[in-house]
Amino acid sequence: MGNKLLVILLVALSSCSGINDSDFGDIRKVVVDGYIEQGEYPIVYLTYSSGFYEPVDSASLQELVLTTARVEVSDGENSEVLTLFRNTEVYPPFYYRGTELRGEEGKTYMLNVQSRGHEYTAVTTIPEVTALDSVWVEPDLENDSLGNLWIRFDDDLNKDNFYRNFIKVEGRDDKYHPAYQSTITDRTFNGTLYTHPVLNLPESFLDIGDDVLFNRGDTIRLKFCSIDRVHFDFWRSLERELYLVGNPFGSTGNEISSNIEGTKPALGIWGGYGVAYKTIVFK
Amino acid sequence: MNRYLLLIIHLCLVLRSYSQEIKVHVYGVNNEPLAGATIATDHGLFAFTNVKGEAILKCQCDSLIVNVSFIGYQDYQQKVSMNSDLRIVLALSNLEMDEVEVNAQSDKERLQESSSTVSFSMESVSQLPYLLGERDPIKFIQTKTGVSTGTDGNNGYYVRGGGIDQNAIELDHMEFYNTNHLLGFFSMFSAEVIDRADFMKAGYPAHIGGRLSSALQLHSQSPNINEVNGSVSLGLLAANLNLQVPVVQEKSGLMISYRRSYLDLITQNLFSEGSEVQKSTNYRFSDATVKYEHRIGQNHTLSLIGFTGGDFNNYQSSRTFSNQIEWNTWNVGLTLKSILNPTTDLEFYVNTGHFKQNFQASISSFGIDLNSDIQNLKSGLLLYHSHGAHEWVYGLSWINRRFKPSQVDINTGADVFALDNSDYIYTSEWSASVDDNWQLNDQWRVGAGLRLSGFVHWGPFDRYLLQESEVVDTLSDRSGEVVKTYLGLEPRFRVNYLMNSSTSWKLSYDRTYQYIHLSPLSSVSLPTDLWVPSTSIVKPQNAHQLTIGFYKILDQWEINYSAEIFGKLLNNQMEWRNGTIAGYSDSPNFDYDFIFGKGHSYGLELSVVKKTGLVGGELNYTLSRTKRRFDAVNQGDFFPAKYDRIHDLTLVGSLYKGPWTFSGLFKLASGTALTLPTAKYLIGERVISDYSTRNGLRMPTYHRLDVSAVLKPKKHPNVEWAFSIYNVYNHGNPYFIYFDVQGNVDDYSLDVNLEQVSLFPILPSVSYQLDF
Repeated sequence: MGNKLLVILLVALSSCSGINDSDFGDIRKVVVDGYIEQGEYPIVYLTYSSGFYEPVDSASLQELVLTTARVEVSDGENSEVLTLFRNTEVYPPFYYRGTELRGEEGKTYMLNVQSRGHEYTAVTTIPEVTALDSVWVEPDLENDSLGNLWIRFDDDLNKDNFYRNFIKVEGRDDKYHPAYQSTITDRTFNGTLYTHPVLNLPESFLDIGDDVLFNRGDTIRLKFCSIDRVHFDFWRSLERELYLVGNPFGSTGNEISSNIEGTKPALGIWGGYGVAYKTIVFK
Repeated sequence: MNRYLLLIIHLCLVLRSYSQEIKVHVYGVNNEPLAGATIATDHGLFAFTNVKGEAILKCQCDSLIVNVSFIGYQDYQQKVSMNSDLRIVLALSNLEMDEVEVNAQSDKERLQESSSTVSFSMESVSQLPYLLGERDPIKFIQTKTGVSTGTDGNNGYYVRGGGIDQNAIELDHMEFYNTNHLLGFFSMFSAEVIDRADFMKAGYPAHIGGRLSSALQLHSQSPNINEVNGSVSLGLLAANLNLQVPVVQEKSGLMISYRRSYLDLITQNLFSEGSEVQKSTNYRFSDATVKYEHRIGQNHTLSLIGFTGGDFNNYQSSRTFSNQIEWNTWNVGLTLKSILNPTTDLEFYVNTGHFKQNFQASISSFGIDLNSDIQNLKSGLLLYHSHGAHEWVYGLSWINRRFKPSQVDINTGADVFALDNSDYIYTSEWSASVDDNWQLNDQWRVGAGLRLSGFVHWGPFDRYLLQESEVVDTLSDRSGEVVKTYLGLEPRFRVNYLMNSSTSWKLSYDRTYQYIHLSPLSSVSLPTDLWVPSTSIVKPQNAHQLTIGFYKILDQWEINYSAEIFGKLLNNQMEWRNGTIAGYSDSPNFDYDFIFGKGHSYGLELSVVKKTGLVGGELNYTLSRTKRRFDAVNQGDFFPAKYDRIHDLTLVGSLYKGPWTFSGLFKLASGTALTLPTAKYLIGERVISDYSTRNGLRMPTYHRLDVSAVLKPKKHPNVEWAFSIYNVYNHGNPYFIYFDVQGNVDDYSLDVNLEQVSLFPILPSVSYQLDF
């Protein structure tokens, strides 16, 4: 109740400070969530943003899905218009996917989205895959039924490298999800054999407990991806925003960097992944 | 133009040569000079005595009947012939003096001063309600017009739209980079150590400088040279011991003061188990001051002071997440004050200080260790010289500082990496100033000063030149080589027109330069914010300020009131580049992470004060706007600064009744400006916020009432009990606002709510002090 009052109060105050209804009305932007991995078809989710104080229920979430766009991916030589698919297991329930063009290491991919008279474009690369040297789980010193997941890889000295980790625990997760603080930059360890802890995604970012560790018996599938700088910047800024949830001890600038250019402002990311997979059982 | 100027100078000289004068010296108990005594004459002339108890009366007549009055003393009348010196010792009146509050500076004196300084003794402000009963000079400053805080527990303050770093805080000329205890809820300055304070926000004499918005000069107690005395006090938060011992009778004394918190006990008892407040305030602080003062003959005083203060906090929310913050400051200083002759005083000081902070956070085996420190060596000379109607102040100062803005070490559990930028940056800042306070006649006083300041960034320093974020060249300067210099010419001008014995008008213009900057990392100010010096990229901040004020004393009501309007322009204001995390950026030089912009601030300040009598009170109201403009923020449009308070009202009242003093403090202020999301979107099934206008929204209005009762039992006059209640009606003022997302997008149900965190509920406290 108190929260609702506060929202009403804030909306009332905001109208005093120069934000009017038309600002909220024009807020809706196209949101791109697209990626391409080596050996896989590109996948693009398209939605709209909605007013922060607008209700979020089944009907309004359905309304935010953009299913009428023309989505094209090209590698400079070949291009393909993606097909709309349906998957009611996840949100958004529709996605655009290729059926011919697959990602290749070292190649650059252009995305072109056309919707309601506007055009949105983005460019990404699939960097060369960095192989994992080793992956292991170290039991926690105080509680040996819990363990830390570690990875080790050889970083390329001649390049600025960026990485992102995904995890899937068999039996618990039905798909890969990002690790907690999933992005890594080689700024501090360029050109070395580097060892890094991979944390599981906690239930709550406000109260981090033992849930960043893994349980004995877990079969952990790890997806270790090389990404480019723009792609890294997006996820790093997004995760920081996600973890801080408006906490004032965070930064003053909360904007998330996006690589989507449009004839109208747009949000989101078009990113390539050079993926290495590894599975480990915490015995 | 020059001819007019010559004519004016000539006229002034002619007028001066025709007038005859009487110099009056007024003394009170123990032959102490009385500042602010009123001198009226049969010719309708009037004047007030200055700090030395002196006043000059000018008249083209043979003699004057002089009437001298001062509150608490009997009036004195005498006929005096011109061109003579009159020495008057006033006798105490039979009034009950216990109930008259003696302030460091009288209203009458303020009326004719050309700068608008607020001076107060800790003694005179000790009976206000303070958070948890801890008397704090900086909290008192926060009740004044033009000074805002906004949220609970913000020890830094914003003066006339300036940032926290734009306020100089000095204790006996020692410079401080952080004066906070307990994340800013209290200052490091224990009330027992501070004798008096001068606070200036406009009309600066030329020797005051280095910061744009205000100067707070704290003066420590002089140790007792006659007998051993001291005090012990015990509050809910901290215990305090103060001891003063004569070393050589009538010549030298030593003061030792120590304070330490025992907050853990409070947070465990007052807040519920596992609550955020309990977890986030589980920590300790302490401060200590040692001062030795030696009088050499009649005219020289040498004092040596050492200060240290620090905080330590270890916060562990679970086995896998911990956070440690620590900051310490220490300073050592020497001051020599000499009276060279009856018209010339000299003050020389030299001091050194060190501020160090450390922030550590670890999640599981992954750890971050952020260190920052500043060291300084400062010295200066001030020469006060009065000649006829002129009071000259000459100043010289020099500060060497070395900065390590941020050294970041990352521990992955397997390896430790040190990030770049961990070298010291060496700088010097200097100033030379001259200022004259000229009493043209009984009504007009003009203050004019010029300050020349400069800054040097010394090597060793490597500047990496970038082209499309790739380093293309490096400019290296060796140790002792000059990397960059800046000069600032700071004219100061003040006029005071005394319309009659109870009314004055003041106008002042200040130009100020600031060479060091605090870069706020987050939307609340924290001791972990980093200080950085000017470099070739970070230009010195500078400001123009114009103030016009009207001051009136209503003698019959014992009330004075004032109205001031001000306008201020700020250049080279600094913020972190959007999305930068300190120490994490890829920039080869730390200063590439900043963006620069402009700001302005204007407003009206109204103040009504009643200091004497059985009921005292003060009403301070500020109406102001503060805006900033950065090319890279908000599409280059002006946006409200986060400390933009449109309305800010403070009401203080005190009632003196027998051995009791009852006080109340009410605060009402516009909410803090903040950036909140206006839209949301989904990426990877997570709700992400889309922000629009910077600081476009406001927190709810801030209001709070505190009350206190101080008892000095008649039978035990050396005992003081202070009872206080903070936030009497238990209003939850927002400290910060965040949004909480509940539900799951896969289930098509999401609940997005704004949540408010408030710090202090109703907080009663009691403290006991015993003087011996």
